Formats: sequence, C-alpha cells, structure tokens
Amino acid sequence: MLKYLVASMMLIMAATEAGAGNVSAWSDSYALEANGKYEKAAAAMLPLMERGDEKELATLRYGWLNYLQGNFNDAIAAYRKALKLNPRSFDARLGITLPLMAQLRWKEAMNYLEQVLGQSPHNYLAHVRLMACEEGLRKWETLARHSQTLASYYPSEATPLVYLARAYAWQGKQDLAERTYRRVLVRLPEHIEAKRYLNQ
Amino acid sequence: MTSNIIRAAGIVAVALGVCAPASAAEWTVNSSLQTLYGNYNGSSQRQSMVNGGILIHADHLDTSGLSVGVNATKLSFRGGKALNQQSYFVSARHKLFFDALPGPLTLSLSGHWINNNDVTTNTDNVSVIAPQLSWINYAKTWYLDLGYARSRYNNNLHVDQYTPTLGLGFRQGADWLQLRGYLIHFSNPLRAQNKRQTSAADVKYSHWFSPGAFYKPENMQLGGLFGERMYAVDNDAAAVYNLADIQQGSLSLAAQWRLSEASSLMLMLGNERYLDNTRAERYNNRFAWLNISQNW
Repeated sequence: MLKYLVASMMLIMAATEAGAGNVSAWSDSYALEANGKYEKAAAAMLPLMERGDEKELATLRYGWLNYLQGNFNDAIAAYRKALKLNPRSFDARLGITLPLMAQLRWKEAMNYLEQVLGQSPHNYLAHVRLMACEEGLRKWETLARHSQTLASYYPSEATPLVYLARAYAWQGKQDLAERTYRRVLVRLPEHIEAKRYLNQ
Repeated sequence: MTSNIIRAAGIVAVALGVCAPASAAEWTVNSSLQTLYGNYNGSSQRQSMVNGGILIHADHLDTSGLSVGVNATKLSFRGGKALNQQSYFVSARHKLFFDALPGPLTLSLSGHWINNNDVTTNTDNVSVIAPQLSWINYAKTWYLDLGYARSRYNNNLHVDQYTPTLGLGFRQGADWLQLRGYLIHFSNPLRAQNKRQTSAADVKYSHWFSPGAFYKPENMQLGGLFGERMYAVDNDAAAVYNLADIQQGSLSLAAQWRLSEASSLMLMLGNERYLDNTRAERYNNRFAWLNISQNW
C-alpha cells in the first residue's frame, strides 16, 4: 500500500514538473519573440511539437516564428503539418498564406483563403489577405468589386477603402480614386498613402 | 507522330512533377490565338509567309505549368510553289522556392516537332528538345536564365544553341529590359550555309503605361536582333526558325491592349533581314503578328 502511495506521489510530482517545464518553455519562447530572437523562440517550440496537448499550437507557432525569420519554406511545412493535425484549422490556413504571399505565390494563398471563406464567408482577415492577392495578380476589376463589398460589411475600416482606391487608380479612374482616398482620411487622418495620392 | 508527341508531353510533365493530382480550381488556363503574315522583299525565291496557331498554357497554382501549341505555316515561293508546315510544341515548367534565394528558380523543358513538304527533306521532320533554368527575384528587378536547345534535322545536321539571358526591371516595374544571347553551333557547315556557328544578341525593351483611354496600349515593346543567327529556337515565342536563312538582324515594335481583366490583344510589326549565302542574296521579311489572349 505504501509502495503504491509513494509511486503515485512521484508520478504526480513528475507530471507537475513537466507541466511547469512546458509553461516555462512557452513563456521563454514568448519572451524571446518579444526580443526579436525568433530562431531561439522557434527552437523552444520544437520539443513541444512532438508531444503533449499543445502540439498543434506549438506547430502553428513554429510556422509563425519561421515566417518572421524569412524561413518561408519551413514556415509553409509547419503550417501544413498543423493542418494535418487539425484539418478544420482556420489558423493554419490563414497562417500559411503569410509565407506564400511573401514568395508571391498568390494563387496558392488564395486557395487557402477561399477555403476559409467557404466556411466563414465574412472572415475579415481572410478578405483582407485575399485583396492583397488580387492586387498581387493585378486583377483590378475583381479587387474593386471585392473591396467595395467588404467596405459595405465593415464601414468603419480603412483597409478595404485603401484597396478600393488603389484598384480605381490602376484602372485610370482618378476621380473615384481621389474620392475613396478622402474616405480613407476620414477614418485615418494621417494615412500616408492617401495623403500622398491626394497631394500629387 | 501524334502519339510520339503525347508520349513526350507525358514524359516532360512527369519529369517536372506537373501531374500531381489537384482539383480543377487549382488550375488556371490561358489560350492565345496568333497569326502572322510576312512579305519577302528582295528575295528571288520567297514571296510571302502566312502562319496561324494556338497556344494553351495550363498552370497549377503558382508552381507548375504545362503548355501545348500547334501551328500551321504556308511559305509561298515565286512561281507559285508553296511549302506547308505543321509544328507542335509542348513545354512543362516547375518552380522551386529556396529560402537562400530571393526568388524562385524555374526549371522548364520544351519540345518541338515539325513536319513539312520540303522536297529536299532538309527542313522536314525536325525535333528540338530545350531545357532552361531561370531565376527572377521577388521584386522583379532581376531575371537570369540559361537555355539550351538541341535540334535534329534530316540529312546529317544537328544544332546546339545556348541562350544566356539577363532581364532588368526598373521604375517600379514600369520598364523591362531583356538581353538574350544566341550562341548557335552547327554540326555540319555544309548544311548551314557554310557556317560553323553564329552569334546574336536579342534586345527587348518593354514599357507599361498608366491606364488611360481604351485605345491607349497597356504595354509597348521594342525589339531588336543584332548579329547573325540561323536555325534558332525561340522558346518565348514557341517558334523554331527551321525555314529561315541566316538572320542578320531585326527590328520590331509591339503594342498590347487590355480588352478586359481576362483578355488582351497584341499587334507586332517588324522587319527581319536575311542572307541567303548559297545565292549571295540579301532580303527582308516585313511582318505583322497578331495575338489574342484569353484567361479562362
């Protein structure tokens, strides 16, 4: 009986220490990231990606920290791994678009964003990144339609209007571009791009 | 012939990993219809050339793609005779992204097959295999490629072509300058108008205009060829110059209009200067080329 009691106590202590170690690894990683030490912050995630309840989160974070380092291929691989762990993940789908967009892989990024929008049609972040992809592909008519619709769903946001103004400017619709940049300045009075366009 | 082309297309696609399973939404397709009319001036043999064809590009997301093209050409000679030619083009490409490089590497492999009714058979049954390695930076200000083409002709001739290329983008992408060298070696000078090799530089300058009225082109391109080339392979244009004499320069001007977000029209006018060494005759080909492109 005493043997079992001692064994149970030891198990509880070991689990507590492991838990404390994990929490410490997470907080170390957050502190390293805050100090710009992305490589070390990512290295702290490596053991957590293989075991434990938070391996999905550790994998997502490993992808993010690799993206911050400019290791886009490693970031893409990590986000794909996270997506395998949880095929429903919006975080992985939105996350993977960052390194893909950094490599100008607009169509691949759009593919993931459309998967998010298929499940969550008014997801703001997915729409903003989709607009960036449309701009990258120079689809000005599509971008104008898209940003106009998004601006109607999120009337207080400046970002859809910035994309709308750019789409008008690239189509040679100067009057509409000016009018739209003025609407941007109402929301963000110091917006550099809008001020520059209106002052030229 | 057709089965050979299909088999070759399959080999090229598998070699470059293009045939990975994917949904239809992951593919984008572009088709372009093109036609060319050329009128020969100063030639005692040649009168005119008419050419028409279709080129289809299918791209899987941003990483791989496959192109196929067919072309028919009629070269009319003075005195009423004509040479009719059919050419087929297949190309596959795959992009590789390395974090150590600030831009993707693209591997491509192209093949050309040409048949015609040339009575000498010299320009009939031509096949070309052309690998290329290219790189462009993410900012699209630098482009480098190295191309090679091996062409096999009837009657004891093969041609090796090397095409190093440098591209420069400036003024925030509004201008593009491309310089391509053509270094061409012939295995049999007797079949190459007594030439063992030729060298030429192809220069293209493109400018993108800010948007304006509907008649204003989106893009204009000035092109020139300096030096000499013969039996050249132009993979950008998916063309093999198997019928040409020694090309001694060219000048062209092209304008492209955007018809919609998905379609565009390009018109090119130009003049090519040729030397027929066996007849000691210089002549020109003044041509007009029209291309209508549609994304699906």
